[in-house]
Amino acid sequence: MRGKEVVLDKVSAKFGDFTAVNPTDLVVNAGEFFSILGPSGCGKTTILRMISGFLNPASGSIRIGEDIMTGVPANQRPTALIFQNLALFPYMSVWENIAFGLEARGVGKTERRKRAMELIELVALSGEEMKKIDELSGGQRQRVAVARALAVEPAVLLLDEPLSALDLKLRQHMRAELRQIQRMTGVTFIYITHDQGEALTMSDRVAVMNHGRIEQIDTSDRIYDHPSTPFVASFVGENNILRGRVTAIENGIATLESELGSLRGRKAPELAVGVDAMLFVRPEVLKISEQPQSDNSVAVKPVRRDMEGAFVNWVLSAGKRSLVAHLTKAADAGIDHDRSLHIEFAVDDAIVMASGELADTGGQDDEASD
Amino acid sequence: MKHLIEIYGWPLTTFFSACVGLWLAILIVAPQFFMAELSLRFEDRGDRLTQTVNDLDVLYRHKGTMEYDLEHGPACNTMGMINPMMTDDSSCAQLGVEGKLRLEQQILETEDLIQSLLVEEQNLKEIKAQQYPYSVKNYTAMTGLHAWTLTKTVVFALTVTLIALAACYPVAYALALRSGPVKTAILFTALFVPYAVNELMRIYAWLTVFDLHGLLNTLLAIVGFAALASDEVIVWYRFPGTVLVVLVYTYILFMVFPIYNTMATLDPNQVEAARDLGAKTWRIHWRIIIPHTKPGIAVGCIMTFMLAAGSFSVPHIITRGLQPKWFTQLIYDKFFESSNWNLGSAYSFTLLLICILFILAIMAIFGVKLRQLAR
Repeated sequence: MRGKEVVLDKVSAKFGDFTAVNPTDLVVNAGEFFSILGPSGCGKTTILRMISGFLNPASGSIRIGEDIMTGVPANQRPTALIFQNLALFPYMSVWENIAFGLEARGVGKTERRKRAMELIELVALSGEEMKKIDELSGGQRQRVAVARALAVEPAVLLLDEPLSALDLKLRQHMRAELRQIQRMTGVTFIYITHDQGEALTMSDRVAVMNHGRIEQIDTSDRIYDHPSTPFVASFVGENNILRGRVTAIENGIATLESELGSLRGRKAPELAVGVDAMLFVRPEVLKISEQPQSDNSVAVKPVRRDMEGAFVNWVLSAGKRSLVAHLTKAADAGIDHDRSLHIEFAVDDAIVMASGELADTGGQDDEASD
Repeated sequence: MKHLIEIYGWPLTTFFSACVGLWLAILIVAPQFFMAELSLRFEDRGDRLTQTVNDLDVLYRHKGTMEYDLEHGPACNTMGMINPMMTDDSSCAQLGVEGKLRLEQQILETEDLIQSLLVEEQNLKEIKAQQYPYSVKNYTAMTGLHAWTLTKTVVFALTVTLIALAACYPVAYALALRSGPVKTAILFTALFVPYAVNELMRIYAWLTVFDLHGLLNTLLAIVGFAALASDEVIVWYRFPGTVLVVLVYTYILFMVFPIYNTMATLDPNQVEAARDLGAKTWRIHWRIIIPHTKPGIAVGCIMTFMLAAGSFSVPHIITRGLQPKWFTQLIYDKFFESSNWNLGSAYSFTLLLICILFILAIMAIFGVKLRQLAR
């Protein structure tokens, strides 16, 4: 529809000596819901500010649709930015906030008001148009921010963690709402977040960033199932990580001689025999049993069982390692605490990658404390 | 109060309250009440009581001089002044017996006169005591000239306020939103350093600029528009603009700080959001920054106006008597030159009333509540 593609051509950003964003190529398709996911300080907000025009790239160029944006100031770009704290104007009513962009473009008051009312209807705020911002709830403010940004009919909407101030329930509700608005308007959304849940649920594609570099760009499913670097594997979702050395590669299956014995998993591209590697296996694919069905298994002792609702989380120790398994209620039912147990997983459910930097998740994937 | 007691305990809280109470009573309530009371008593300088009191003063002095002369001999020329009591030029020398007798006779006559005047004063005082003492005559007695002076003072103070606002808004904007911490620190120091100097010194310093052979005229002489040697110079003290400039300079911080303080609380994202939505610079100021900064602008205007309208030292020092007096100078004259505290108090309260009206007007214009001003 009216969304435009955004193309970054070797764009980098520097603050003094500090390189915030390494030269980056990125293509966001027209009308796509695209997320940039990464820990704080990874450079994702910097990329957003460069697209919106508040920051000039140190090198490279940005193209939106057919137009190169170099030298175009923020107030003349076909973008609209939704700030993390929303930055609504407290001295204006809801409709004035929404119509501000039109006011800045010299649209007459009646026309402004009419367009604002249409948007107020779109974001389900009818009846609130005369209120001041501080009379609104968190979710309502969110909607005003979205409407205000959409009012200028941007080709690209940039969102800088706009949901982070909301409580969990509202956040989940707003995710669905944002997705719906994006589909209805066809505007290209570029969404910045450190919350993987947000990125995975809403996006057509996700870019995972770390240290000013994009580690992987893919659909949510592929990011989760086929992480391309140890950082992505450890940052997105939970993973059990085992370190070791690759001893054999055969038919796309790598064998890792790990601290817990020989284990097998899918081979990541560019993995060679003899290198230090990591095996990633997600908690929900682990099976717990007394008698393992395959040799891709490890003997474990149960440490703790946490009932989470849909899943039951088991914390298990194997040697010095601590492992986590998420079992369905049915799978959990047959487990006897007092017996010696094994965990096992299908070879296709694990992935072996050359060692690399992991996301900082508070050390839970590392050595067990006991 | 309860909160204070929780923090400081009974004895300290009582002590604090007592101090504040004493301060309020002695430094605010009592003088204000005294002045208000004075301003409501009209003192008729032309009535018989005042005349009688004045006559008595003259007679007492007269009598004292004659008694001194009787004892020590008359001084015909003391301290270069002719003794007004000497009726006879030739008696510069020792008083003769005849002269002494004449002097004693005069003293007795004067005493009689004093006695009769004292009786009259007593009668007049009793009559006055029976009359109701209060009236608003002091407030209504202002002459056209003084009213014009008051009007001019208010207009000048308004002008100072507007100039200060125009000068300070960009400064505050630069300090609050456009400069990094280092630049802000430097600018602040630059603003502060002159204020470490005593206010009177700062005002006097301007004389070196405006003086006949001062900086301005010297610069003019350099470019050939004036000649210092033949005193073909501009007498800057004649122009009201000099007072305005010095007033703006003297009170500029009182405008900068309130504006800076409120402006610094503005979320920079608001400015960026407005820019992102396509707003040009003036619209960002008009719709985002100024509405946010209103309370600070109001406080700055109120402070600057009140200080300018109430300034005595600046017009007194800068005009060098070459410009019409400011209203504050009139008030000073009433108190200390014609020693008419009643009229002086009334003039002061008139000025205060105008300042209060100004505050209310500003609050109405900016739509600011008292609570916001206090912030």
